[in-house]
Amino acid sequence: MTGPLPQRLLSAALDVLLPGDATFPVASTVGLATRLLDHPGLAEPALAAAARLDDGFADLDAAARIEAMAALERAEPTLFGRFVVAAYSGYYSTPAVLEVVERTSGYAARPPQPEGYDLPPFDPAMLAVPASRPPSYRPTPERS
Amino acid sequence: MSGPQDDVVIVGAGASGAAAAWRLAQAGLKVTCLEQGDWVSYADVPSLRTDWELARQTTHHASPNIRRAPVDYPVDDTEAAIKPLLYNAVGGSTILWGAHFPRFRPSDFKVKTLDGVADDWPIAYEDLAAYYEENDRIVGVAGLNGDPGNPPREPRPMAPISAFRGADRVAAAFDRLGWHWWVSDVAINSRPYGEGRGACNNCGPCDVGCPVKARASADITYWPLALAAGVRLVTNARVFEIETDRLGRATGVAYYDAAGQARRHRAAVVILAANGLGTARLLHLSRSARAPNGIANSSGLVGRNLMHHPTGMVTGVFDEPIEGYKGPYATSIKSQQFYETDLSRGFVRGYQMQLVRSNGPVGTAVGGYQPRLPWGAGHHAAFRRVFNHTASLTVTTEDLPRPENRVVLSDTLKDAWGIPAPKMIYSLDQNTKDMIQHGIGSATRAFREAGASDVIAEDLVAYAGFHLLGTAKMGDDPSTSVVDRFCRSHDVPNLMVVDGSVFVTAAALNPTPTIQAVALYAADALLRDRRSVGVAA
Ligand SMILES: Cc1cc2nc3c(=O)[nH]c(=O)nc-3n(C[C@H](O)[C@H](O)[C@H](O)COP(=O)(O)OP(=O)(O)OC[C@H]3O[C@@H](n4cnc5c(N)ncnc54)[C@H](O)[C@@H]3O)c2cc1C
Repeated sequence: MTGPLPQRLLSAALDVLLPGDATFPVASTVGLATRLLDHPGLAEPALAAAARLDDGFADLDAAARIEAMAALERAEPTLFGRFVVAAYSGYYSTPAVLEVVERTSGYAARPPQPEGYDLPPFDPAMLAVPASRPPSYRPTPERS
Repeated sequence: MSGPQDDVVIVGAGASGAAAAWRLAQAGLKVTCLEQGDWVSYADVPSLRTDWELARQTTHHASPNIRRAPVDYPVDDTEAAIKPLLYNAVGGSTILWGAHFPRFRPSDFKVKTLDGVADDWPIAYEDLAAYYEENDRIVGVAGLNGDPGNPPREPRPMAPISAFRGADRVAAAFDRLGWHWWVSDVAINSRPYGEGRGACNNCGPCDVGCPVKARASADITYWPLALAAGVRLVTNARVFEIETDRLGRATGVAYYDAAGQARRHRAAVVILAANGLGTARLLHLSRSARAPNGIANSSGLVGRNLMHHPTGMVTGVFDEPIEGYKGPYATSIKSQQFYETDLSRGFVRGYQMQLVRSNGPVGTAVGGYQPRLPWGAGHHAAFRRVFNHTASLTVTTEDLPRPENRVVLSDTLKDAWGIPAPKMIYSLDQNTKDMIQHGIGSATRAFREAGASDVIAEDLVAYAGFHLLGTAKMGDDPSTSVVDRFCRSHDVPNLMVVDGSVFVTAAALNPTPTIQAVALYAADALLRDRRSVGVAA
């Protein structure tokens, strides 16, 4: 099932989902199809979605590919949703894409730990307004 | 047959089982805890890896049906509008939790008297107050007392954790609107606290492993204390039946060990702490001629009245960077402005708004807080627009108990050992739907006031079944409840339930402080009455 045909078809489908623009790369240039097929948790939804597309999908023109994907989404929303989640998960955890995210947003493309992030300590002065209010919780009946 | 091996056997080593085990062992009882999962390692958690977000969507997903780890049991959720989220390990679901740590309000225990709906709890806030305090000290809570929306409490063990830009904006908006808000109590260290536990370094995703041990999962809070007090903890032990004698008293449990070998553990008292799903499953599994509908089920209520906190999610998109990926993802401030009943709003009871931060790139794209981003031509622009520019308010509603919302045994699914899986049957009623719509309106107003240029709302977050409550209801009347006010089965006096199954109502906020307070309270009741239930003095 992971031979050249499904791989080519999958790659074409992923390019419809993540077509790239002036900032972000198109899915195929970061090798997304291979990445999904190599990952046990992502391969299954990717292959399941690819199997629902016609063998000739990769040879359709751009508009027809988009329409075929939209038709699949309408027909099998759950399966399609799992495919999209797998595609986005693979794409945005690819180092080349994370580099773009870092460059364009300031987000550090590194694991959250062990460095973490600096944030200023909580400033209790923030609470001045609510702290000045009288108790507002609802009275309950006296216990017998 | 020989006598009991132990005074107490506890099923489940999560938030409630850990607390009860510690309390009972510390008082001198001989306690064994059987846990289906294993210890989690802190050496190689996903948060230390670049592919941490991928792990979150696969191997560390909060749904056992997606994660499909060998220690998990599947859950049939085909008829459930809200999907179950849980974890099977020492520490239970707190291994993944966000550690938002609010207490119930006193009114939450008396909704029948106050609002004429559901039932009152047979106990009151005051019965639990001292246990809440003790639990706060053991778990380690960061926050600030003085919240006018809640009864006074002891000074919080630690100062609040850091806010973030989103909290600054939303808090100021709440003030301008004249709405209640307060900094959240959280079970996260803002300074080193507890044995070997450091301060939070604001890394963000608490659910993919906290190597600093700042976030208080039960494996690093209660379990070291419980083991030191002498509790015997058996991991990879899947309990499949509560065993009884001729008189219908519990004699212990049967379980499969790591090798799949069936074993038996006898004890004077059996305590279930397997959460609102696992406990109901086990009670249903324990059928006999005496109890054809499952043990402890003469009321017919085992598994019924399943409650979650149906959650709407509202996201404010700001033009400037918000850096919501910094700091514990699920916590900052909360508003209880719309918490109590006001019938002019068109529904009974109310909701809490909890300000959560935001996600990394994958979480943003697949939709954690804000909905999933569109695919195709508009995708990358949508990503740039929201990533690093959002904060979200949950609309956490009170889910009133309804018997048709329930946990039964699945006809089709079994776990790896052949034990029938639980099935959740769950839908929302109109009251809850109306509440969510009202909450979406309120949260939208707050974000507009806070300066958000765009607001996106999601009516119902499907993957929000992390609070599993009500399936073995507490009460004084055996015909309308499963356990008594001390968490003992009406039918089987030496069988107890100490997890969220016993909740009579769910309140409109995260349940774990109350679950743990109830577990400590029930353990003390058992210690007091130990002779009458057959525990040697
Ligand atoms: C993603 C996520 C986020 C959350 N965030 C928050 C939050 O911010 N605040 C909050 O208050 N709560 C939160 N929760 C909920 C919180 O984790 C639970 O309320 C709490 O853990 C419940 O405690 P418990 O002891 O009832 O069950 P659990 O902690 O789930 O423990 C039950 C244990 O029983 C074991 N078990 C089940 N069946 C068997 C069996 N047959 N044999 C042996 N062992 C068995 C399981 O393996 C498990 O370890 C969150 C949960 C999740 C999943």
